[in-house]
Amino acid sequence: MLPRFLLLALAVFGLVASTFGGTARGRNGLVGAWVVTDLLISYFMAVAMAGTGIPVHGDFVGGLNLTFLLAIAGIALAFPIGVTLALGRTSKMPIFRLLSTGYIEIIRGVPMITMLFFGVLVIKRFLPKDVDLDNVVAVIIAIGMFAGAYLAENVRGGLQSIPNGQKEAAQALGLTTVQTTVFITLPQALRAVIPAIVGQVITMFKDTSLVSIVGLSEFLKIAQRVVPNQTGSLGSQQESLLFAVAVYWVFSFGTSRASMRLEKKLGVGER
Amino acid sequence: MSQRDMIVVEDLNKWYGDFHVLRGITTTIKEQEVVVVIGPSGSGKSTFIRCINHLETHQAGTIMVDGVELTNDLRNIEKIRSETGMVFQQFNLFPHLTVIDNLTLAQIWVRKRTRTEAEATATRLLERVGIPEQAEKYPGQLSGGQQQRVAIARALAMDPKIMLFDEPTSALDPEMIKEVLDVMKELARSGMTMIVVTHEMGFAKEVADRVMFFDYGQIVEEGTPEHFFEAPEHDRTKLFLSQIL
Repeated sequence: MLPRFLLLALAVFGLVASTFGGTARGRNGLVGAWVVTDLLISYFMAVAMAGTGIPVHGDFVGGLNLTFLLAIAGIALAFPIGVTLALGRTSKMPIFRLLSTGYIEIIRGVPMITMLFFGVLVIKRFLPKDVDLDNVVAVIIAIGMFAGAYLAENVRGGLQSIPNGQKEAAQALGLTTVQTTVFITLPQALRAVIPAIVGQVITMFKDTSLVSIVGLSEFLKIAQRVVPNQTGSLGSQQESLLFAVAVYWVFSFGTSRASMRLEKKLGVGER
Repeated sequence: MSQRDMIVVEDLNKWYGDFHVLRGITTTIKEQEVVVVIGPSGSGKSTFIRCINHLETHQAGTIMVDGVELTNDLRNIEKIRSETGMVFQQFNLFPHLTVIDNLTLAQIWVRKRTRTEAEATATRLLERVGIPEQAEKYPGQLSGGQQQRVAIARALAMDPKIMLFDEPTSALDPEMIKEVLDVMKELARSGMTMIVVTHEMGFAKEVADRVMFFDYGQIVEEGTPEHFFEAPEHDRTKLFLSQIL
């Protein structure tokens, strides 16, 4: 039992080590290597499965792969939604303000699980009959819509923290409203809320574990499912759950470290 | 001074809710004229110059800048703003951009210059205000005086016909005021049309063509610096001068 714990500890250490040191280039290389390896393994597994004659469907994407896919695609979708809503909510035009505020308040008043069911069950109703929406895609849309509402409030906080003088200076130079937003207020606002946004990315990464409720086998679900195959040692849920905890922690912590470096690089709080 | 009229203001009125900030301001400012606006705080002097580039909207009266009337038409506003440089009390440099980017951004997007042209102009102006070596730094790394000089250079980069200064030295430490005033004096001598809201009476005496005294949203008295400082007519002006000199 002890050797397995030590092995786990070693693996965790190996994963975390890169976030503590090394050059920026080295760290980026490592991340790249992770992604490429991940994709290669998925590909070869699919090929291997093809040989056995067992059909592999899109919704068979599972495990850590799925967790990453949901987190990354989710935030990629949430970001434009969030920024648009934040701009809408701070807009001078009542119609944009009303629509944005309405969306944000409705989505924030709904549990994430409801959004997941909405994604899987309701979104399809809005599509033409012959369009087959993959459950994974449906869930990504739901997560993006959900996280976007929260992100919008973070970004709005950032926008409101920018002194009015910035806008005035930009306007006095003759910049249009759009140019002022794109070049002056939005970059500063996003920079000011990096810590909050990263916090949200971490939350979202962990929230992806909820998708097992709509039948997708993400990392945590797989961690539970492999238990029956195990024998000896702890051979129970404790062990695989501990491993899941370690993996979630490694990635959350890594994200947090990356954010600290980003903040430093961009000189947050420097005025 | 027989140049053409640069700014013509007629019966300008503005209210903040019930508060009547500007009460019928009428004045004409000629090309190359340097006008210094003084007055107690809350007298409407800042609001007045902020109306000229429409950072504040006026409710009654007309403002003509270089022949273009300031209305709510966005094209007119943008036209006037691109002809009018403004320097703020709090500098309002863009903290996320380097000094050189602060100077080139509007040149590239509003004046449609190429990056090379814009950078050449920026470098020339940084030399003019005496800080060419700070081009690659961020505003937060500069002293207040240097930041304000960058702000002046940023406004000049647009080749404005008019420069508006809104208490440019009020947020500065005393030892930095001179470096900013020197830049402004040089600018005044070069023939720039300037409106300067300030409490620096030395500056007013030295470079102003005309001094305007604001109180309760009105121009109480205006005239040459000699007239203004040596033989003011109104009691209110005398009282103000006795308090600050």
